[in-house]
Amino acid sequence: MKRWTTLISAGVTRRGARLVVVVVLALLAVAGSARAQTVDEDALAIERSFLSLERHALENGVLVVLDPRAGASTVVVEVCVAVGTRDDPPGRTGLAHLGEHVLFPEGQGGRHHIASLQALGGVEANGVTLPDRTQYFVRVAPGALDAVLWHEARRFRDTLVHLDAEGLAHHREVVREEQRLRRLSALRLASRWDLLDPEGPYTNDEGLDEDLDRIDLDVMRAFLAEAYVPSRMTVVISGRFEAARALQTLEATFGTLRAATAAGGRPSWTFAPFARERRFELDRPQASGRVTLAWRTPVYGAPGDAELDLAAMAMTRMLAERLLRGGLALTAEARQSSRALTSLFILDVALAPGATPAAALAEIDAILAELRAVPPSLEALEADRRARLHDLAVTLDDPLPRARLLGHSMAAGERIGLSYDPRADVARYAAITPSSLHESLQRWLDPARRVIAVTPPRRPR
Amino acid sequence: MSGSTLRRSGVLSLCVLLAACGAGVSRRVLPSPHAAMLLPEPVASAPTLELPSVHRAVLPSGLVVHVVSRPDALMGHVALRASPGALLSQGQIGRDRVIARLLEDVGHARVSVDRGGLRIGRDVSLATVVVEAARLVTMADDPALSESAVFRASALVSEAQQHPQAIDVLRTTRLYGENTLEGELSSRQLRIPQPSLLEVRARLAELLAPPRTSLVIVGREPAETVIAALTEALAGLPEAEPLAAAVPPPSTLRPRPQLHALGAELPVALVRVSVVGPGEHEADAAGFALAIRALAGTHVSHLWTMLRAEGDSYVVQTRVEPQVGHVLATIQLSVRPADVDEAVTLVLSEVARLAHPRQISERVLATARQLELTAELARVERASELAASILDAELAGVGLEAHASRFAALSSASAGDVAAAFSRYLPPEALCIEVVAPTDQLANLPPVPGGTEVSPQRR
Repeated sequence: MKRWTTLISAGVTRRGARLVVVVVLALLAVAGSARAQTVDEDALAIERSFLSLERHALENGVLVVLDPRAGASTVVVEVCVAVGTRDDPPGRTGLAHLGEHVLFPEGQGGRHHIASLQALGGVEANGVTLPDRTQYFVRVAPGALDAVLWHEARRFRDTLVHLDAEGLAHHREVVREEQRLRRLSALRLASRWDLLDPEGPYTNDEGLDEDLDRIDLDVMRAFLAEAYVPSRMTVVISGRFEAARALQTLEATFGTLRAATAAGGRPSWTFAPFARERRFELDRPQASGRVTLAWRTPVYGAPGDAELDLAAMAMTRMLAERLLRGGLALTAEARQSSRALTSLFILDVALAPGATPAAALAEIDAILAELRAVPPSLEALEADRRARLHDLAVTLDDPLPRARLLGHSMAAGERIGLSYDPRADVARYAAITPSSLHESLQRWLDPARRVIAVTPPRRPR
Repeated sequence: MSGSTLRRSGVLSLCVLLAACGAGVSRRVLPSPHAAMLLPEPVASAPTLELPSVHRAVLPSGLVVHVVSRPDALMGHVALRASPGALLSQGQIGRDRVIARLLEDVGHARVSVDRGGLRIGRDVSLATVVVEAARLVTMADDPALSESAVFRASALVSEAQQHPQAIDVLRTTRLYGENTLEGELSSRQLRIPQPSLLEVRARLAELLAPPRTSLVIVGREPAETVIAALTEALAGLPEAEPLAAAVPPPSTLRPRPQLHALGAELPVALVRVSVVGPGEHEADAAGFALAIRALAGTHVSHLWTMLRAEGDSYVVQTRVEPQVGHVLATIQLSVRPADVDEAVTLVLSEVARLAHPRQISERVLATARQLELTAELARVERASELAASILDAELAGVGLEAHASRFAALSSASAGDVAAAFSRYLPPEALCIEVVAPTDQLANLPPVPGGTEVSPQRR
């Protein structure tokens, strides 16, 4: 009852308080049965959604993931190619990113590639270059699927044939323009792996200006011929479509790409936590000062990765209780950001007006010490597990993020180096115990092996 | 197209020609290493829209509830629109924005404040849709609200006010007139109070009173089961008197200036063109949506092609945001600073040109139509957008089936319909244009009917 006393004294009117009691009792009655079901409901829904999923390999090595979903209204095609910024050779940073742009040929047959997709009703058509992979995606009405597969296959067949110096120069300028625009947007340290972990494998996300100039037609042609081969491609179709027909169309389109072995190995990198604590201050003030912490943590799907997902939820909850309610921060969030070669556990806090980085850091350290001292309660663990599965369900409910997740995870092992399969997520999270979570916290979130970055607050005008 | 663009086009063409003749290697067409594709280019069939069935009920308290059951859903969604009519009066917006931010923070919800009131939406677990829906309705009494959360919300809204969005103020006064709700919603001068928790709860209770509130629940359970559970959960909810008076419709005043230019030393210049269009369910809404696509929303539109081919612009984006009783359309360009005047000239000439049906090519119209139709399909697919559409349709006094009419109108709209939308909603004098570019580039901006105002350099 203490809770209600606090509630009423916090400003609930008497009539409101009576209403609260009535409504909350009613909610508890409804939720009573729901609470026990929640994990099972979400887990079952996620597992059920994969029942129709099929995985095939075309003769030339293209992997195919077919994910039909009867309740969808649209269908998404995603092509994931296992080449990314971490494959950029020294002195050629930006090669993979520029390659992605080149794969959106302009003027081929008198049309920009996106224009061809748009003529079919393709919305959200785009490409993205990540450290591990490059992804191309588009959403269409179900009746346009065959035509979209035809155009996407043509993109990978013909770009190399038609690429010329003029086209490459144009794309180079577009990439430069994109970088200029990116610099205009506010710098969020939490997404800058190159600053948080400059000695890690993901440092050259953006092409350097002078390096882009060194990527001439021969370099680009060699890159496309070696990297954009069927054995590095995964095609995912997710949404409303008929699997057997889609497979036939894929064989007649993507199946005609010439089989070739990807040349060269990827740069090797051995995972190890940070050797020591490193502190630095960013020289670009922001409206709110920020404190950002990062630890190197196990890769996607490795033991400890799922535990740290839940640890991030527990940490976020405690940050809310202590830093937000304590008036030290405006926003505070922790997350396990998982990648194939190393993950980063990132904690990002926007300081409240007047709060100092030192005070926030002291409170963060106190929270960390508490979490490392005692295993979480089973109840707290269950709540975090439910929340995590809910987040996963949200991602998997929309064909576009679902296809993007399936694209890189289902090309596991030989393509990207991931040992992660979203179909195993429910089991992965179900296996976590208070002691396994505690052990991961102690092992990976070591206060002596982390990065602390401070962004000073901008002075008011 | 301006003379200088024409001149540069000529020079560029000459360079390209010389490059093509002289640089044999760069123009070489390599033989394809791939086998021929085993099928000719397929033809896409016309998209069809299948609307989900929506079960509508009114609870004893007066609360309107819409339930959509999706057997394949992986998660649920609950959304609420509070339509307090005249209660959403001017002078309260600062406080309501703090409340909206507070609900985002505490309720993990997406919240917006507009002429129709407050709209709140949240993705939830399938097993807790009823609990979370009830929680949304009784948010005024939510134990999670606290003084510190209110303090934080006020600080965050105040901080957002400091962001360099000054041009928004001009846009809203230009489009809606001065002293309007829309003007107040985007004002940087808005006073952001720090209300007490007691005031927040009282205001929420006022806004969320059942007869003025519509709720949407998207889940997997049958509608009857959901409504029965919700009726039980909200049995204690009191009734409140409905309010008839609504906020007056937006003004059509267009105070000067029409073009606002802001000096800023940025590596790219920004041009934003905004215009108000008809509500989504009005007769000429399809023509307007296709007009915006035809203007700049496809890679085959003349504006896009010109800017991109000349290398003047990297980003050409269009956006149409449904508002209460109207839509707000935005075309945003990022261009090389030296080309900002040409970009504005091109926009003005394009809206004038496209008011003639013969200028709207079949290719542009077909592409615009296909894009709009797919976008409509995606809209009913995403639970959050479906819920928002149901709430907006309710506010407009139509049902979700109005989307089927919109889909049909989009499918059959002609070049004449699109040209008519340009004439009615997009005459050059109706555009609100904002430019952010280095000060020395602002002197060459073309004249516009409603006048230009240049603001000093910002740092």
